Amino acid sequence: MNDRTSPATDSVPDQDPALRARIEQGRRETIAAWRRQRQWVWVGKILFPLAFLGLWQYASDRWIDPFFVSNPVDVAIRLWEWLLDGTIVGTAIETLLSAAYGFLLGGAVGIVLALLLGRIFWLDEIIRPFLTALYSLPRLALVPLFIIWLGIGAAMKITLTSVIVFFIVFYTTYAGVRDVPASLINLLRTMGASRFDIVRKVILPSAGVFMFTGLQVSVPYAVTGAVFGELVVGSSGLGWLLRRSQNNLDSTGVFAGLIVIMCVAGAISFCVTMLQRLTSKWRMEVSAPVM
Amino acid sequence: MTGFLRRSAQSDAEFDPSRPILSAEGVHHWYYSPERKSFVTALEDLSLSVRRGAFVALLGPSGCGKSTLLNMFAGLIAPSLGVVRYQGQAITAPNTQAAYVTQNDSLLPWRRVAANVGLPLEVRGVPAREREERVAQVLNQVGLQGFERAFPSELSGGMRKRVGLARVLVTNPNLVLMDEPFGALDAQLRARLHAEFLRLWSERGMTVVFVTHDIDEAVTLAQEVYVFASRPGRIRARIDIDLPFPRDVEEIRYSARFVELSHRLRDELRLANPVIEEH
Repeated sequence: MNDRTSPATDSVPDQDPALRARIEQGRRETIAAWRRQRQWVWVGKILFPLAFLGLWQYASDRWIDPFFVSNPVDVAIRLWEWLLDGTIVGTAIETLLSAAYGFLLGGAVGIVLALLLGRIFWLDEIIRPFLTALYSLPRLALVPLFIIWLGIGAAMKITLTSVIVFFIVFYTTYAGVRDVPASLINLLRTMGASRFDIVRKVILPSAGVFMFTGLQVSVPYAVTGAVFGELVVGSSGLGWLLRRSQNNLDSTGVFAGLIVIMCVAGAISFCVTMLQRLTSKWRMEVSAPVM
Repeated sequence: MTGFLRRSAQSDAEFDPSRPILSAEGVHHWYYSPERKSFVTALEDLSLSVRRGAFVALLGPSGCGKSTLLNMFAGLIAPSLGVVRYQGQAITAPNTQAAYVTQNDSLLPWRRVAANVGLPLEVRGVPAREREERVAQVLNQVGLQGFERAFPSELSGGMRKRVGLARVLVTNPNLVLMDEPFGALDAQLRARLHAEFLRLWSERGMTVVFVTHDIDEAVTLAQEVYVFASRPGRIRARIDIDLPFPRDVEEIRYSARFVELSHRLRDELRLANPVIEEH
């Protein structure tokens, strides 16, 4: 009655004990191999950056002049000093706020305009060629204009950031709005739904994936906008910190500044991801088993 | 309590069972085709009327304008010329008295089953408690109790169709407009849903207008079939399906009368739509 090809081993009581043991051992080995692989990945995750930093530390002063590349220990000390004397908090908050305000403003205008042009076809035909023409301009080339209009303070940085973010969010959200199946919209119309209902119940959830992709992609660009503004003319913020370090030929300061910028971008990106998690649960639950 | 959405007070006052619930009078429709760079005639001088409680099929090949007519009844498209009426009144806005079912199940993937079924009630501002009750009741009727919290992506094709059906029934509609609703299903599942839908139709006394290109489906379900000719879309014939109700959807296709009727429909379709080698 023993079916030797059957993989169902656990629930067969009268199975040959030797075979059973062999199968059990094989199962344990498979699991152990999988665990070992996971462990190695984790070790690698930690070792790789450590090796990078170690190599940097070793190479500096031996292979390369530390004037150009500084070294990790000096950068860490510099970050610690800046943290103590308040430099980081002051400049990072300045940059973070400019980036965040610009991000919110540009993102909001982008989403609203994408909803309008995505649904109102005649308006789309009139407005979009104009936007496409503007889009072809490098946004950073607008800085001189913004400085003339707004000076060199926060308003200029926020405007620059929001213009950069606007185009990214607009084009991705627009694609999402155009992608909404007409059948769903018609369905809501026959239910007697208002335009507002249709936007809220169909278009926003459906275009949400595109919209969040646009927001997520534009986070580093938002920080770029703020930092670039400060780098060119600012008198505060992380960009200014970079420029000051550069003027002092202080590569340690530049590296320290770059690390703080990474943290700022990471913070905004984290917020967007959290918001996305909250709003797209239906998609998460579908993809969860695949992961 | 169950009849809370059946009819507005206004249409109750002029309720007349002998008057057709739907009618099209001299309907033409033209639209601009960007591919052909010219206007195309989708419907040409089309008239028909649907009596209350009837099960009517619009049969024709794709592109014959039958879906366009259905969309006119739903109030999604206005005819270029002529008039379509619901209970005697010209349809000029989306027809909220009609439940509209499309070929793809059109469930909102980000809503759970209960929220999908409750959507039409939500849009009409029915309070949450009453909504829940009605949804539970109708999910029971289509055999989906216990799936309230599932997302559409977690259901099989047949179950999704049932959810769509539940969403139609939850408003107690007078009129159901269906555009190839059972198109993409395997034969057994299709037959089962046909049977269930016929039962619901006879229990509830609603009017059904049903678009299909499947002759057998039209004969199995409908009381009368309008055969469409294409390019331009127009009605070629109106044929009564005099098979008795209740029908056994599995058995009926072997009856002599069924075969005779489907032959007749096929001949009409052939005459109306000579095969043109195009694609």
